Amino acid sequence: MSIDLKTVEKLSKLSRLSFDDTEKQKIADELTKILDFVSQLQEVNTDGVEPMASTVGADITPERDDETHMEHEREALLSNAPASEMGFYVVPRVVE
Amino acid sequence: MSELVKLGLKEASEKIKNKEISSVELTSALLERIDARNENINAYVEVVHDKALEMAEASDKRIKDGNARLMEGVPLGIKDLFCTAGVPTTACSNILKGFTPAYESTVTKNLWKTGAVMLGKTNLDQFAMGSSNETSAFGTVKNPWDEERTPGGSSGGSAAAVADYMCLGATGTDTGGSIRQPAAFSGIVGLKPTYGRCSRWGIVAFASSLDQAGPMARSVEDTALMFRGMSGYDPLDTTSADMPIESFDENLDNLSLKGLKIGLPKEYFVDGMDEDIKKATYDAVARFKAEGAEIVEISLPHTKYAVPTYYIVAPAEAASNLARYDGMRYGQRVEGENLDDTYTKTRTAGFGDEVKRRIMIGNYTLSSGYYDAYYSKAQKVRALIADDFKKAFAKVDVILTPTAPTPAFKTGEKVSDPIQMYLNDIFTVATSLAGLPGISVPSGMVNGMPVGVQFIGKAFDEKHLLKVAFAHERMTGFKPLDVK
Repeated sequence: MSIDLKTVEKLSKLSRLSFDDTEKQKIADELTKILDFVSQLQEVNTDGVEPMASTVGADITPERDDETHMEHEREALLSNAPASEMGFYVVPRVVE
Repeated sequence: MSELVKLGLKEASEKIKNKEISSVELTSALLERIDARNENINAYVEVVHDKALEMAEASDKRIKDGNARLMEGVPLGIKDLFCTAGVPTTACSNILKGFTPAYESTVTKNLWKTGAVMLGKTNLDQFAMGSSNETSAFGTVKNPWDEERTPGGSSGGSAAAVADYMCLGATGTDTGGSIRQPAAFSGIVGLKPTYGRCSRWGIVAFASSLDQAGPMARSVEDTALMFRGMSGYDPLDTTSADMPIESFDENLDNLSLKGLKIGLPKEYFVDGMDEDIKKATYDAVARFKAEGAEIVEISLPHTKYAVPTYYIVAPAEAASNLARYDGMRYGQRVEGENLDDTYTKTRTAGFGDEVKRRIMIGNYTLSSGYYDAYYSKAQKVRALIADDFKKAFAKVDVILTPTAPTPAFKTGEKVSDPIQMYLNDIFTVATSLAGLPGISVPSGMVNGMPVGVQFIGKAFDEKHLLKVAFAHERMTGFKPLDVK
């Protein structure tokens, strides 16, 4: 599987990352190598095998009671915001 | 240098409780050691002198009042992946520079509740993605045994700080080997607990189905005590296991090796493996055999596929987890022409190359048309890998393997080839994928560098695993780094 520049551009858009032309070529080459390497999984017979998403069972991970509780203070969290006003995050215009 | 810095964690905790030394004395000695050594080794990215001394004074007061707790007054290093309230937390990435959490991770909160003292935040590969600490935005860490070499990664700063007597123990996190490999490279002990043992709440997420916090220290007993202090059920983490915290550090010598069944997976001992690593591992096997343990050859047939499986599962989870770094609520923001442009500029400026590479890979394997061929396939192979271990543990009590394929390599040696770097995890990732506990313990020296072996245990069987590791440590007689 060879990754071309068009795929790199599509992925960089999905990833919200930008690369210049030299970087794009480098990433295409690296991704090709990595995907070649991981493609050896195709030779494993996994017929009838359920995908494993987690190693801990529900039997030992109880659900907590459905109660509201105060975890964080608004002001303390907002103190890390790049921009905030009147108790809200300030972000660029979302709807044009 | 004050000799106090060489005290073991448990030893120090007892001396403090018996009022032979005070926490302030010990903390001051360690801060002095850090001030003298850190500029060169770069193990810490943040040292909290005032906070450390305040915590030490509070501990001394509790001792005086007769209210000592499990690890009262013991100074620790904290990997800079754990959120610490009021202390900057960066994951060693530019995107989080300037971020000071308003909350404390459960693991560190647990440690402070036992009376432990924070010395500072330790260096790591950016977002824990790396095996040599070379992807850190704060620069590489030197291995105290040979400064031209890496201490391993991603918990490289923690490993170097422990090995170089800049703390008595340190927290690490392990996603595919990030506690065990640096422990092996730096001549210390590192435990990756069973997935679910230590809460992930408040730890900067990398790959959520694999991430697990654990202790790093200079002896098995110290590691066990710290594990006791940091683990436990947490309702804030949906994958936290409701299992009792045991007295992991007690009765470690209470184990008969006679008849102990130790499994050697044949797939871990293959042609072309490093001869010195092979010898160090077989030396350990011989010592167990001499004391009556039964050595059983086992097969973990899907071993070969563990690294490729890991490098699909982990980047996919990382790509999703790291979507949160958008410059809106915390961390750095680079303003762009519109919202999308701001996201892109922020992420492009903030993330390092390895992090970007993994986000791109993750978004590829998760994208429509490729999901089944890559991500879903990897999750199925993961199930087969876990099943291999299940079958093996029907026959043996514990599994013994090398921790890493080589001793610590030179800084810069592998940085240009991602796959070579990924192959460092060859002996550790399978355990992570199966969610099992693994501990790396020093097993001797090769050309002046320490090497480690790994013991893998059954799920939630850390107590037994620690006893086996303790026996190994006793028989090996490994000497920690000698400093004047």
